[in-house]
Amino acid sequence: MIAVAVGLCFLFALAIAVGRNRYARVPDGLAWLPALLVLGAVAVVPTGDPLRYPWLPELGLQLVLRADGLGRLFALIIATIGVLIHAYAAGYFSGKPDRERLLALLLFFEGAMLGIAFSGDLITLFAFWELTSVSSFLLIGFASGSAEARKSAQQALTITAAGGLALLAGILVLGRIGGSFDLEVLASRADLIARHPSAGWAVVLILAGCFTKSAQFPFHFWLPGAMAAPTPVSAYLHSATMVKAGVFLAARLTPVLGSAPYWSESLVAFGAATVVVGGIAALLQTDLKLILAYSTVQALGSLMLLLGVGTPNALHAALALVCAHALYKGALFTVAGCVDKQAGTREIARLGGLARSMPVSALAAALAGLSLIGAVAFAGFTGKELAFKSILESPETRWLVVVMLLSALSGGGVAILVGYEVFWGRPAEQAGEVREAKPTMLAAPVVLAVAGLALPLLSGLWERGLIEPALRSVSSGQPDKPVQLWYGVDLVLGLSLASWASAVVVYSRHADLVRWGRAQRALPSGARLYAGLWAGLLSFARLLTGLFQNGRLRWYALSTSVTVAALAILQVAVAPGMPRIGGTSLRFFEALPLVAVMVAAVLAAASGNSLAAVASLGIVGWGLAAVYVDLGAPDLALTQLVVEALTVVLFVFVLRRLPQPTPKRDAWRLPHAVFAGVVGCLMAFLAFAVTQTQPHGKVADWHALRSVPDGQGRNVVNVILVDFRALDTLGEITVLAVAAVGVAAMYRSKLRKEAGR
Amino acid sequence: MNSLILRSGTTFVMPLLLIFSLFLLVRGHNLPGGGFAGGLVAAASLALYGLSHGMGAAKAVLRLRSETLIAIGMLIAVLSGLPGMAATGNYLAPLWVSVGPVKVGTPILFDLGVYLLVVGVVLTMVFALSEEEGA
Repeated sequence: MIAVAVGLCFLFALAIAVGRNRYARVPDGLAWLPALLVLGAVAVVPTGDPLRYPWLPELGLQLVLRADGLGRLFALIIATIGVLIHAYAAGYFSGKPDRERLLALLLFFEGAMLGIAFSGDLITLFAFWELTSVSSFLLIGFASGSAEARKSAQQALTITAAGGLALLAGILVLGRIGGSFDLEVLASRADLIARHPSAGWAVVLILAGCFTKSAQFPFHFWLPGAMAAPTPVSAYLHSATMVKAGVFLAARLTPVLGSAPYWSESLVAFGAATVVVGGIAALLQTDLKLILAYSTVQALGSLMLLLGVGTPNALHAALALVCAHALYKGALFTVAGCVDKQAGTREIARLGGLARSMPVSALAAALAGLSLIGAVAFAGFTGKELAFKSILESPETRWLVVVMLLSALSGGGVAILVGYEVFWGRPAEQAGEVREAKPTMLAAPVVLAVAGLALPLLSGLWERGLIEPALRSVSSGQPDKPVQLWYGVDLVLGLSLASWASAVVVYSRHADLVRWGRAQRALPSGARLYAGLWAGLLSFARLLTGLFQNGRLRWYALSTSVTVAALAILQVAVAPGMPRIGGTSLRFFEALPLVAVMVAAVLAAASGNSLAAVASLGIVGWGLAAVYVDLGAPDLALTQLVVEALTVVLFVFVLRRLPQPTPKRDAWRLPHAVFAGVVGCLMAFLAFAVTQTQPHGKVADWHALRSVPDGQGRNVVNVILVDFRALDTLGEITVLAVAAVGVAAMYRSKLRKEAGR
Repeated sequence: MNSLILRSGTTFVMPLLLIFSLFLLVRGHNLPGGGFAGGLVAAASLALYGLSHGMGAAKAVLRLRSETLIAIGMLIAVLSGLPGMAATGNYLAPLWVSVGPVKVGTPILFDLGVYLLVVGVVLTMVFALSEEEGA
């Protein structure tokens, strides 16, 4: 069933991509059916025995899919929001030619995410992890005509892929330490792993992957950048699912690495820094999507922080917050998309009083905002209560309450800005009349916002069905309190009240905050560092290209042969012994072609006329053919002769386009001659060396011996080419084919350019 | 190149060269020759024809585009490895069948692929380089 759930996504994605013209006829109201089927499959996935499929058994690699509580919790979030986002995206892109492409990509992404959630071993997880990076690249850059979208997509891919590389390294280290990639095996060896001297490396590398994916400071800047994506994509990837992959992996590995060095320290430190940076930045924005993006950064930070605290209560709170955040942030993002679409702007200053014209959106936004601010009876309240309680219970983590208060304050501010100001705030001057969004687009925000209210009301189901099984796969401990509607009047409620009050203050001074934020633009930031590094890389590449690819044939020949010669000299210098030179007698008929070759070679180099040089080279080739015949290699001689003939034909065409040979007084002529002489002598030297050492003599004998019985042919050369080493030949002819097509394409494009001039 | 002697000569020589190239291809497994040498000879004969009668005429003789020839050759070479894989599990493993006194096997198919590809490669370059500016 797991394989069905994951496979269905990829199958549907492929089917929609292939049959996009037919699929375009499916009405918007039904476009979410494939996602619903996936949700159905996910919902009935049984927990229990893993599904194993050998992948590369020689390397001990296998695909392992396993459903446990944690995986099911994330998979249900992914699939549920997937259905709503599909309906929303179909409405958002209704009638546009891109609709099918978006739906197919969303399904592709959903499959990769479900794969992560259900991975039973680290290699499988990594494969799906990379798939999410690729699919999110395609989704962020969905508006491929826009330079900004392309740049954001590239930035997100660079950062998440770099983190992915670190993650791979970390996985390999961890697999080496633990002796397996299977998560259950690793968890059973957690104590051994934690004591291993290399465990710190595994932790640092794996967390680098988690932090880049989940937009933790200082890598957080790609997430606001990714807001160039269409809103359905932002709502799905950048609030509910993909950015939570890092959090998921950190939770997944808590039973394995929870007691390893640096684990909790890094999670707490980076999580806290991310809360501060994201929380403050969210209040300094004026664009609805950017406000929500930074608010998401802050939420991800607090999730990481709770995982770092690592007590059963903290983990329990993190899982509750994951649910709550996915619901209210998904709702707010989709509302922001509706507002953007209907009112034509996302600037908070130009929005206000929309409740009259968009009542349904306003209701959804208000409910989601109440959940975000942590109002009593909403999922956000439950999550926040549990989070505060888990931090206050131990003296070492009590200082984090400052960070959590900032987090609550920022969340409250964002909630008032998006959930109140836009719909009930002072009406701004708007161009034309604003109307309510289409029902297909309203389904997602309404359902998500109502679910944020329903979860605490059904708290028993929420706890037993989702949170508790998930907690069991992360920790062996029990939480003090289950998720509830109401926790009574205590210190935490007081803190909540304080954060609400300060959120109102922050809201009333929002304009000042924005002005202050604009003044701080000069501060160093990850985004600027990234831009600098990127520009540096590009100019370094340009420098190298200018140096080595300068379009001068002579320089290419020189640099290539000098490099080869230098490497060969290095090899000769370290190799023991010198080859014996001479000692073979030469008969007259053997000497004749050799002398001809030498004379012709000198003539070719000395000639001032291209045609004469080509003719001399021809003599070299014919002389070599004669030598091959003498040495008993008729195959080689035959090929050599035909190649010589064809070379002349090609030269006839090419010569008229080549520059004339350099005049004799060129200052480079002497150095070139010296280089050529050195390279020539070296090749002769190597030839001698090769003929005298025959470490592979047995290989030659074997081929001669096996040619008839195994290869059914007496021509050993040909049998080697088409049978014994056929794969090599296949590679060689591929190179030939690519080279020919490349030559033709480049030459023709040059002709076309010259003709156009 | 406008030479009556070359033109008339080529008209006779080219078919002979083509036949010779096939001869090289077929006998290659036991005697000097093979797909590579055969392909070069065939390409040379067509290049010669192109030089004497004009490249347009050579292209007409070839009928297919030279790039198509590359693709066909590549396809044959790649596919020739599949029967061996199906039978033994190893890609490109040879399979031989005796048809009377003649032995036929997948390596010959592979060689045919090499032959076609080499013809295509050489002619693609010759045709491209012979094009004039603005042509």
